[in-house]
Amino acid sequence: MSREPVTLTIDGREITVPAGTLVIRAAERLGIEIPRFCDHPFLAPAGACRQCYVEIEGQAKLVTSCTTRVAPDMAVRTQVTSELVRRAQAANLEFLLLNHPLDCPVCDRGGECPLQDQALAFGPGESRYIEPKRTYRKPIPLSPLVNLDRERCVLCARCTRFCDEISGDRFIELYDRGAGERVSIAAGEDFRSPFSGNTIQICPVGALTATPYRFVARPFDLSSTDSTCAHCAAGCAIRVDVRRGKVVRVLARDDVEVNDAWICDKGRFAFAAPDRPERVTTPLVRARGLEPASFQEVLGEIAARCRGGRVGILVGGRLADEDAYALSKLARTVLGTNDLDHRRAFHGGRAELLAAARPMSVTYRDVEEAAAILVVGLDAEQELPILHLRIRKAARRGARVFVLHARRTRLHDLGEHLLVRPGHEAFALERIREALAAGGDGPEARIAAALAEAGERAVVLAGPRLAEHPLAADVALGLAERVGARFALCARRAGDRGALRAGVHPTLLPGGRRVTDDVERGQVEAVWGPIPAEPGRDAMGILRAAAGRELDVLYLVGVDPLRDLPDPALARRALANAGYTVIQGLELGELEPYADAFLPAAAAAERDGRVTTWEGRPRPLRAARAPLGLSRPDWEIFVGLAEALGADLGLGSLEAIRAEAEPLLAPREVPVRSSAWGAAGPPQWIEERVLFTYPLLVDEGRLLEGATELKAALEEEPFAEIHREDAEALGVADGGWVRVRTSAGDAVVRARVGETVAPGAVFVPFNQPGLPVAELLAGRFTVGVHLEPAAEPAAEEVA
Amino acid sequence: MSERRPRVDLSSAVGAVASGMATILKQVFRRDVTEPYPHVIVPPPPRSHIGRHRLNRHENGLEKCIGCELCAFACPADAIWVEGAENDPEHPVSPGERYAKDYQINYLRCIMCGLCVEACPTRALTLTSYYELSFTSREEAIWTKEQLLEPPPPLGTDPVDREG
Amino acid sequence: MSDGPRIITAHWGDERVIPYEGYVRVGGYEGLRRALAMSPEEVIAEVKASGLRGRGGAGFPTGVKWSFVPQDTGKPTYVVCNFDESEPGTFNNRELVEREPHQVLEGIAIAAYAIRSNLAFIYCRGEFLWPGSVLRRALEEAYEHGVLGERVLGTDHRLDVVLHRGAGAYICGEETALLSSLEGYRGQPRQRPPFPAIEGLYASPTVINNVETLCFVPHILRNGASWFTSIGTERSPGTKVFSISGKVERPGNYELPMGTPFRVLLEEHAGGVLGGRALKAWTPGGSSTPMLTAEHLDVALDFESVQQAGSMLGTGAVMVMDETDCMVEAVRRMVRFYAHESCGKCTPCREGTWWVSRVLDRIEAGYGRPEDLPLLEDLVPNLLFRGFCPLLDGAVSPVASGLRHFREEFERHIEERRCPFTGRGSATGVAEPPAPPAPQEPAPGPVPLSEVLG
Repeated sequence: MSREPVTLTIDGREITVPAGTLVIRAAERLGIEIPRFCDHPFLAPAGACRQCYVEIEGQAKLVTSCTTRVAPDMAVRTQVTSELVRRAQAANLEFLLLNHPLDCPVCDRGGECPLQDQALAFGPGESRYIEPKRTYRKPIPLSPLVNLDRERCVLCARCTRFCDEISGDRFIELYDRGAGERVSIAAGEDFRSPFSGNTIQICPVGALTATPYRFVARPFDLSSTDSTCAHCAAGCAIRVDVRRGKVVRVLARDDVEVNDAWICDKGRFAFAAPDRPERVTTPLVRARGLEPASFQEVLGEIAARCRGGRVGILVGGRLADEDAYALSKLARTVLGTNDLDHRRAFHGGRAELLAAARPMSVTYRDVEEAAAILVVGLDAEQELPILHLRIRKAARRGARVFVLHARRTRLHDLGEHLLVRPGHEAFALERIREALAAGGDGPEARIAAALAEAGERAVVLAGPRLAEHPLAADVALGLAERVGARFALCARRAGDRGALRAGVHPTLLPGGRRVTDDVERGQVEAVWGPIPAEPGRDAMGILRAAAGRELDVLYLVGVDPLRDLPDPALARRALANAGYTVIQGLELGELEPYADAFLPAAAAAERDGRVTTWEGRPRPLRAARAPLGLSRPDWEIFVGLAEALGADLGLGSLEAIRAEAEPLLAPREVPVRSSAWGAAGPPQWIEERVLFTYPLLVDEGRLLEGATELKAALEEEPFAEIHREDAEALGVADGGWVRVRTSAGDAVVRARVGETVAPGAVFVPFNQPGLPVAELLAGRFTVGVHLEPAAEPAAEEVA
Repeated sequence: MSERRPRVDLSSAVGAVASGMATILKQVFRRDVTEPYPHVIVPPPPRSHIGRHRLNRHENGLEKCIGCELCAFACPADAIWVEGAENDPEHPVSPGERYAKDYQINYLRCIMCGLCVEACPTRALTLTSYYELSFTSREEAIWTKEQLLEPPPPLGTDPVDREG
Repeated sequence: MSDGPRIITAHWGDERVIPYEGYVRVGGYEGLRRALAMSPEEVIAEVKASGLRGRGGAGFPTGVKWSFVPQDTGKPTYVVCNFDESEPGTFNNRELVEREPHQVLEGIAIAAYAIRSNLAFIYCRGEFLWPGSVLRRALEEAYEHGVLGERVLGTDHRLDVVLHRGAGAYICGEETALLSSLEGYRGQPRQRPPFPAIEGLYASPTVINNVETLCFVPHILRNGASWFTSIGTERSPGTKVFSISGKVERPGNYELPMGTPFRVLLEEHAGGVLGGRALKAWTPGGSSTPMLTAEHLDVALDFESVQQAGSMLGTGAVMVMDETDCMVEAVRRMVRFYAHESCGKCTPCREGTWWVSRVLDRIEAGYGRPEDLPLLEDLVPNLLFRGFCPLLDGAVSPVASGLRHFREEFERHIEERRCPFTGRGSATGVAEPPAPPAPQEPAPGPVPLSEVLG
């Protein structure tokens, strides 16, 4: 589409817009609001509701401004200047209201309803319709999250178009015709889309309502705060609605640079965790039992233990950027250790160094405008849902999408999948690299040709699966560099990229500066003062050290090693043998017996700060309410601990932290190293069957606690996905039971047999209810596995 | 600026004084209107809506209140707290999908303006003529849904007031 | 019947032309043979020169439509034959297919050659079981005899024809809804532009023609454009198959030159109004065209003259109503048809036809109110040209023309509180008040599990 400017007049005012712009958008630019229902800026024009009539000089009929594109010298008259348009819009509103129930007082949309607003602004005062209204049974639950009220529906088809055009999860569709047309879902189906909540938000009436928000509040009850979703590294713009100190709703905000207008259901519905009764909001210290104490007391006690002792720090994915920076500085300069790590899998290598040093190598816009996208080791829908939507958008705009992963992802309808066994991604990448020169006609050659053709408009997105071999991500990076593609190592959790950039890492300091490099360390020492020069231990190393009684203090910040890390047996030993265990977070959970001190942290919705997206883009967190009890933002606790140790971090405010961090975190070049296999050697070709696992979008994660309806809608029973060939060889039937045995343990789960995983690979989702898969792991998220058919377990054995 | 004195008209001044004195004399001989409340309780005029609120029920016993919170929205003093919830279709509290799970009026805040009654779409909320609203604690000033659903007691029976 | 020129119905009544051999014996596929000897551009030029206008209702020049098809998009092009004949009163397509199926196929084959298409579709109305079977048989024959397939009549031109049966929706006669339905989606119209000639079936250039239109094409190729223009009027050349039904002595299809006066069709061909009664109203082109009255007996039946008389030639489906017919009931039934057939996509059509139909139900049943007529008169401009597609305009025209020509009948219904023709109504206590709309419980089909389980 050509984008030459076109000049037209709307209500006598001249405006110049790019060719192809819709009249309704051009009017918006002039501040003229044309009423509309079916039109949505991120959906294709439909022209269904007929509310946005305008008059165009020289055309006999009124036209809908949401389907009419601008033309040179077009003269448009809206309801502002045209009586005819005003009458037509009023008539159309009368039609829309014919069968619309007058239940605004009990409707969740009442007070923020486009139909209500526009009926008030443009509609006739009274209806001339005297017949009985159409009635339906209601509400109809489309899923545990979404309710449908067909009487209120104005059939604008926004919801069905969203499912068709944006998420591709076509669960709902219009059914029947004429006055009997209605939104329906197939018999026996639930609206199991992780994006279903968006249909509720874009519904212009109260036809789709959210179960968790049903009758909970009215718009005038709410105080709203614009913030960023901290559930993953997508960084979606959200609005947090609070009623009397309690978060009751989360909505997506429009941001074309990040999330367009969408968020996933986790971001929308998982907000109850900080309000659970299990939350601990006072500092605790172990005396006879764990007893409440003041921050001063507890920090003093911890400081006494840390002074002169060996400290290891494990960090979860929850920290804001300022927290990470303060912690990095605290560990290095006050606690005198490099033993800190935020990762649960280990990339290492140059790809990680680049991610630490250079933000924004790939942006959402780059993805959207790409000609070819290679997704490696990432299940985008489950891990970074909004990135997934961008990839889909790109595919709809013509991008060729390839997925190199051990398991089929939800991009399967738009992209080509190359299923490889976990740990073998690097081999496949090597084959693609070879095919760049050699050609051929296999999938690798197709990927190579598409990447080469796209050149600068190619994007390689590497995900967490690549962390299973230290340098697999470097191979992906090498491939990207070879074809001139943009490359990003996609962090999954909201705090990951920020923590990496700030140096919550055993060998990297802020900005990806290496501890072992005297020059680079010197640059940080110039700001911070002396830093230990020997590299620290990584997360598993810290656990091993604690288990071997080498640590005096084990400091756990927003992490539960029993459930988040792939070796719970080691974690238990570490917790038991650590000299002193400090827990900092929202609650204690299973860590309670091990805790010697507890420091209550504020939840994301209770504090200001920043989080960094997978792109490296800083996004603002804003407090929607005050922290509960005595809990405090993590950075304040770190500063307080430093003070208790008699040190001044010089980080008295968020502004101070940002000011100090900014020069250290400025994008910088990293030395080019050869991308040959490093010290770890090439990955091993694995012959035995391999179990691999990663968390699905909705699992038993801490921040999902309390999101009952969300879990009911999207959480799955534990299962083992097995390739058909393997299943046949083993005699395992689809839906039958299979015993999964690894070196760490065994479990009986239901088998799902198909071609959705690579042959030789077995997928079991991480942290599903009833099956703590971590118990089967031995230090990594892949593990050799032995399978055998099993009898249906007795109820307690499953659990 | 020159100072100007008002000209005094003697005859009108005498007349004014005389009419003032007449008013005073009339009042001196009028019957006392002060009610010896609480010893004698004068019933308010019939249909007067001057006192505390009441939540009404339909004839079949269902609550008229649908928990829409429009009263709370209308309230200029933020005296009303409503929390809606979904009716159990088997045992509905009110007709339709929504009912008031919680309903409170804080009489320390209420200014008896009646805007809440105006706003109520189901005539669930009305004012009664029960004006004996005195409290000895903040908690007591907050009337719960259960209390508001009850018809007001006869005037003069409030134990707090009887002490006077 | 008259002795006027019959082109596409010339062999009607002769069952021997139904099979391939018989069709060839009367000169069949001669037009295709001639077309294949010409270049596609020459074929388009010939059809353009003939002035043939689409017979499906809009009357758009066929050759011009073909010439819009771009050949440089890198996408395939398609021909779609619209055999979804569902306009009330229209039944010529069905007879054309049943009596001479190869004539349609020949027209399709020529159209496909002209726009360089190798794949054509026939969208057959779902209820047309027998015509569909006739077509299927004809298609098999055409493949057997090399008219269709890899080498059309021995040339390098390849053509496959797919017969697709609709599922029974009036809206699928609308060309973009037809395309949606053909692609497997809901039969709902699409936004135009892009027009089908640019982005039609599967987003590729597509020509959609009515059966009757395509039937003329072989004859034009065989006899030349100038022969065709010598028949009919200057701006509406050729003949038209008029379907006349209702209160006439001899209902049926009559092929007459364009411009034949309605009086000739009614009196000479259809045998006059049934029982010699007086003519009250007639539709020139199906129920979606505004009704005309006895005053319009001498209107010439061509696109321009009918338009001048305040209606449209449409599909040439003439429905005749006589003096004993209740116009309120007639309008009510027509509107009810459109309310039932509205696809539901756009608001005015979905809600407006429903509302109008309810009001008319009430008036006919003797429950009309004096304010109902002003209401209907106000709704007409609120609905006309406000829909997504022309279905709504078709639904409005019986109301508008009924009120224009027969307002006093509506008034009598309201004053007497009954139908003056049947005597039924609230006044006589005979009629029930119109039933309130039944709660629209889910029809068979996709029903959520939760609903089944309650």
